[in-house]
Amino acid sequence: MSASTNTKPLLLLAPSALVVMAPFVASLVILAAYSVDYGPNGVGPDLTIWRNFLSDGYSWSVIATSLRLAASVTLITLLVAYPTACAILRIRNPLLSAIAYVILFSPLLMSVVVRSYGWLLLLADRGFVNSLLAASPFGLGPYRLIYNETGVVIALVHILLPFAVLPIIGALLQIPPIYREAAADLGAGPAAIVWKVTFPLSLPGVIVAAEIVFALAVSAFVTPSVLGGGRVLVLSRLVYENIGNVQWGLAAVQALILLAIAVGALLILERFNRSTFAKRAG
Amino acid sequence: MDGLTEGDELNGLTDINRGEQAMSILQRNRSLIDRRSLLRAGAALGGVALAGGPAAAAPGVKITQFIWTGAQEPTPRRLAADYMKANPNVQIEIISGTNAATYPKIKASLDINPNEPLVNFGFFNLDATAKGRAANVWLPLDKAVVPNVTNILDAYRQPDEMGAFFCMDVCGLVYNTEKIKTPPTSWTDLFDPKYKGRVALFDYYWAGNGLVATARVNGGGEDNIEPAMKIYEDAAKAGQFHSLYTSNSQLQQLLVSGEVWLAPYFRGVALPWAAQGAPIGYAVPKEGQVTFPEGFQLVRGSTPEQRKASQELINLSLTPEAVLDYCRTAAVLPLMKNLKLPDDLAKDPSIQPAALSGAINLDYGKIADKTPAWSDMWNKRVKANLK
Repeated sequence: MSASTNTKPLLLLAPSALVVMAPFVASLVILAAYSVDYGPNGVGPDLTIWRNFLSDGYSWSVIATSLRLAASVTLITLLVAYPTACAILRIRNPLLSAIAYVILFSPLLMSVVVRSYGWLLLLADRGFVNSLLAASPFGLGPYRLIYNETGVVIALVHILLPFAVLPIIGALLQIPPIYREAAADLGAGPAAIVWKVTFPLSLPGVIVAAEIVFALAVSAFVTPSVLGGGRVLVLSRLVYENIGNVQWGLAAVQALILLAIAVGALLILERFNRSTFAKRAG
Repeated sequence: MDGLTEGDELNGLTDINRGEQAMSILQRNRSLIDRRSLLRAGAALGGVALAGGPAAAAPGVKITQFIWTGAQEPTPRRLAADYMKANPNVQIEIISGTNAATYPKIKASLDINPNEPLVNFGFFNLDATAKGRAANVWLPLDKAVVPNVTNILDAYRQPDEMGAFFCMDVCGLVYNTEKIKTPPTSWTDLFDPKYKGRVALFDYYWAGNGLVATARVNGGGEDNIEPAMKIYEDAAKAGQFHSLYTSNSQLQQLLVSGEVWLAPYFRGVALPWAAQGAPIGYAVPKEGQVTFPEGFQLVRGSTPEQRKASQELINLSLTPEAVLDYCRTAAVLPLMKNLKLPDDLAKDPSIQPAALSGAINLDYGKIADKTPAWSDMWNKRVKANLK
């Protein structure tokens, strides 16, 4: 491969890399600088803020809640997104397909605040969902569906669903139909075709969906703030609170840890993606 | 009132990272996403992005005014329009929001460039004022340009003219009138077992969630918050609190739906809801309401022309007509010597001399100093123990 062939993609990539990476790297540098205490006389630096945060059991409980919330949202979103993607691809009527896409993307068309308040009304003790449950033949409820993790998970799954469906659709479209036909010809039933052919081949799309959803869920702020009722203690809320208190150093430490969690999760999922790809290739 | 009313804006703090992460993943894995799907998504998102347009520039002096959202908006907007009409060379940009969200941005803007503050002047409470005093964010008003500042009641006048606090709200007990037939009478009612699971509190808002008032009632105060923190901690463990809310709208929904019966909060927020027909009442605790002065601050770093225009508009806002208009729309109490109260306002029980003389005047400077420590205690002892 010639040198010009190697440099051309890099040159094409340069503008977007600059736009994306420059502010990101600059923000990281500024955050890192804020997270280090220079002391009253400007001497230092020392890592007191980091030490204090990381040695506090409460910090770890907040990190654990953030991780648990993001993991459960990711899992549930994927479980809903996969059949949704399959169903959308089966729609042959262009009008119905367009309607399906509009419905799918509708959560993104409104403000996160409006959406969160909408969920408050729907999931309240005397809201629509509990009214339906009460009116059912079993007379269920009312259940506490908001001001706890349940409400936050429901609302986050709703908003993040489109981000999961899209990559899964992309992966499913890349599977040649002939693979499924060959499996059927060899006697595989519909369930076996899905489980042994379609799903493994669409796994890269599922992993990408998991990466996106996890990254968004772990740093979600408004939804846990509005629907958590003070019971869902996540890192993003602490960052916001410390910015409000002009505790820049502590906020910077928490923001960097939040970013590290998101990046760590992405690296793990990406490694998993590569290993499954290697197995398939091997 | 402070709170999470600018959620989109607040969400932007974290959306920056989230967006970058999501887009980088999408770019790396673009082969997994077909072009048609991307176009569909792009069309949907493009519509949202185009909803906001760039602001037009104008010649002359440009100032930025910060106002509060909700019922506090109409009067400042009208006064700004009047001022621009009388002074065509001045353009006033208004940004609305909350002190909690806006003050840190102002501080950050001055840290970045001391001569380019985010806003030139705005509406602030004493909590933000105290933080700004400590951080050298404000400028004193010039009495020659703002002569109306001398009409503020002496008790609320700032000795160094650092701000103009021309009105105040009071914090007491807000309750659902259908669920509580006999109005509550004391801060201690918040912890009455008969309201178990029916009390809500504003998260982290010490003047508005009864924490300091409870400390005062129980022998503590700004210098010793422990008595109140212990009571709140025990109540959280016992399941006394329904939830911690972060916006006025949330409290309104909780009270109107009957999920929450009682909350410590502001008269100026509750009365407009009651006036609209909501089953909501406001009660003055016998130990005293918490006073919450509100007014203007001039931000350091503005040009002389910006300072002049800002102060002229502050002066216009301190005329008796403007103050009365503001107090009526925002349901707050005027603090001006030259204002005769209309009969209906004069009869309000919460502003009778006895109610005001027994009011709890907080030391917002101390509260600002102690807020980081109190937030930490609140997280670990109250929030972490909510049932």
